Amino acid sequence: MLKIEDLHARAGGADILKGIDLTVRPGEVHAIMGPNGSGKSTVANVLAGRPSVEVTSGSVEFEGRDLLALSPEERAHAGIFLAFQYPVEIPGIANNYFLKAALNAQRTARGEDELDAFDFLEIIREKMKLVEMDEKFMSRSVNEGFSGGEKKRNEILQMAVLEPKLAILDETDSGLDIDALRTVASGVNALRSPDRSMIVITHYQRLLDYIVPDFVHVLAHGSIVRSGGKDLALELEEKGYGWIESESTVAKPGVPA
Amino acid sequence: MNALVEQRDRIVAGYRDAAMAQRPGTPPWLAPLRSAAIDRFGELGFPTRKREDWKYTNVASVADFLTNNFDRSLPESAANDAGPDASELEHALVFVNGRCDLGRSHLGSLPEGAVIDSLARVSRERPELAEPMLSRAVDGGDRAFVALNAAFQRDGALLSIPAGAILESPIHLIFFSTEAADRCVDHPLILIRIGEGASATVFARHVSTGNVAYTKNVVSDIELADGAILQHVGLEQESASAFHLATQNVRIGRDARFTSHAISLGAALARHEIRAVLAGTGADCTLNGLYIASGDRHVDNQTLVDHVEPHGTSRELYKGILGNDAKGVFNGTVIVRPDAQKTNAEQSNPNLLSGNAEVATRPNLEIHADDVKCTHGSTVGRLDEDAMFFLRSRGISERNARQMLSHAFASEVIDRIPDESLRDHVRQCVEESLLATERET
Repeated sequence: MLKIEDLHARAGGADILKGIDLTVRPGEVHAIMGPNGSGKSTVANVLAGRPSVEVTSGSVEFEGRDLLALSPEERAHAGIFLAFQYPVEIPGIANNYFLKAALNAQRTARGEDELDAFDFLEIIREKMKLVEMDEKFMSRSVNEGFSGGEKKRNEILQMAVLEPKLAILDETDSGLDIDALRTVASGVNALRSPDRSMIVITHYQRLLDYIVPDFVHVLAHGSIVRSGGKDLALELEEKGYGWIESESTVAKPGVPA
Repeated sequence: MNALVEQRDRIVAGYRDAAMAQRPGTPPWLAPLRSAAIDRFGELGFPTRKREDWKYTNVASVADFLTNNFDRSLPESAANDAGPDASELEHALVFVNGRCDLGRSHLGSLPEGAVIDSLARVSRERPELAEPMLSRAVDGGDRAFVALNAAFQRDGALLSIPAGAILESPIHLIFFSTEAADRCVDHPLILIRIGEGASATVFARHVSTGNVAYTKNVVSDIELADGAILQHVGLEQESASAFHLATQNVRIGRDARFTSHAISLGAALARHEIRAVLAGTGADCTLNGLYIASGDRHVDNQTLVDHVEPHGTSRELYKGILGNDAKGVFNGTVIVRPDAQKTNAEQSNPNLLSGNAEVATRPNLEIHADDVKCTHGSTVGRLDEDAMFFLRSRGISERNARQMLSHAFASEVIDRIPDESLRDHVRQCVEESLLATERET
């Protein structure tokens, strides 16, 4: 489904990603862990097409297409979804209006009919139950005045409505208390399916107690220094990230240090 | 000789030679007012950029147009001309090419003593009502365009709402220009008096068919007696080749409340000037403004809020959305006079720019009293990139995302219009204007 090869990227005038390789097959959940500044969020932003991140070399293929050649909206139409680490507040745009516009833009791009207000309401009511969101949030401006947990639930609601093929969760656990974390995680788990893949980016192992990954990758200094099964997350929890500093200075075969 | 001086002289001489002050149909009391007005225009001349309030707007193209066309009389409208349909509106005065079209106008049941009528008709038939209101309105001090309006005005609206009367439905004033108005000049005069404790809503619209070059120089004189309430919604959608100059003088009495929503979407050059005097204790003045410009449109907003008496409140929010090569001006002054203690004044002017658009924003406070609370500020920014990326990452096209964010920016002003039907109307027009702006980029 997704094939990242030797991806290098720059942001804010610095080289952040220095050769990422990652393959994600349908239905798989991959966790990307790593210390602050390791480039985790840059991976998410490259995949979603944030204009301020510049890909300097490498390739990303999504379902056989060159993902890097697509605009952010075309990537969304292709089935990519990024749950933002810091969801943006947009005063003056109602949540339901925004979500209906997004869903209909995607449906139109796929050659499907737009949903009318009734059909949309039916969908939204059902999906809101997933993330235990009150309907009053729908008439409020997007994320404006929402608590941290409400913002993250709103992200998962968007994911539930848009039904992506590949969801990238960028530190969805940051700033959440344990109850909010459980709600968000159960919303995410309800969306797991054999043909939907996920990349879960997190600093802490805690989230992976609730969203259990098939694979765990450790990112440091812009490249993946270790990959393994879900037990790797537990090991990281125990040992912290300190050990990476010594190991990651060892050049990987075929990749210049 | 300076071109502006020469143009002034040509207009004044042409006016006197043709004895325009006494043109047929002029009521006897009005002729001397008109003569005095052209004399005053002769003294004042066209404003130059040396004046603080004309620093950013070059009057040359308007002066040129007026000089070449001041004596062209607007064609009488014919019944089969294009015109807006006002039949669904409770109270509507319709003006086609400067003349009140009574056939298209419609007035529902009015409280006793209320007058909503063509100014030309009231001037002829009820001089005792028209004369005092008109003579005060045309005393525009140093405003050359008020003097021109006074000298040339033929028609307009006179609204007089008696003490205690409450008008629930908005009064629509629709100024409609057809293709026949090409190369013509119109000087509508709007006189509004809201009596003690009375309340009304006025919706003044300036619209046109097609792309017609004309100049409209409109003057409004608004008086709120003690305890009166007026919601004034102005929607300027002139033709893209037109010049629109508007001067609004407002006097707000004790505990009276004036709210203006000024929406500017059209004209090649638009200038909107509001001077509001809080003349009574506890007067309340709200000025909301929204100007949207693209192409090489020029839009100039001049506001003056003058706190004369104590316990006054004024709030001002003017927002601008400017794209392409458009130029915007906001020059807003709040004066707090020595007696105006306990004044509360707010003023802000946020601007959203794209392309090569520019804005000159000058919020000014002049405070001569010590026990007051005043804030002011202006911002100039571009669309938030994070918000753009967020919307696009959900599948919304770049164009639609930009439009949604611009609309959201404008909504803060639109949402303040209390009357739902007017608010919806304005929202629709703003949406169309933003769409048109998007198509140009």
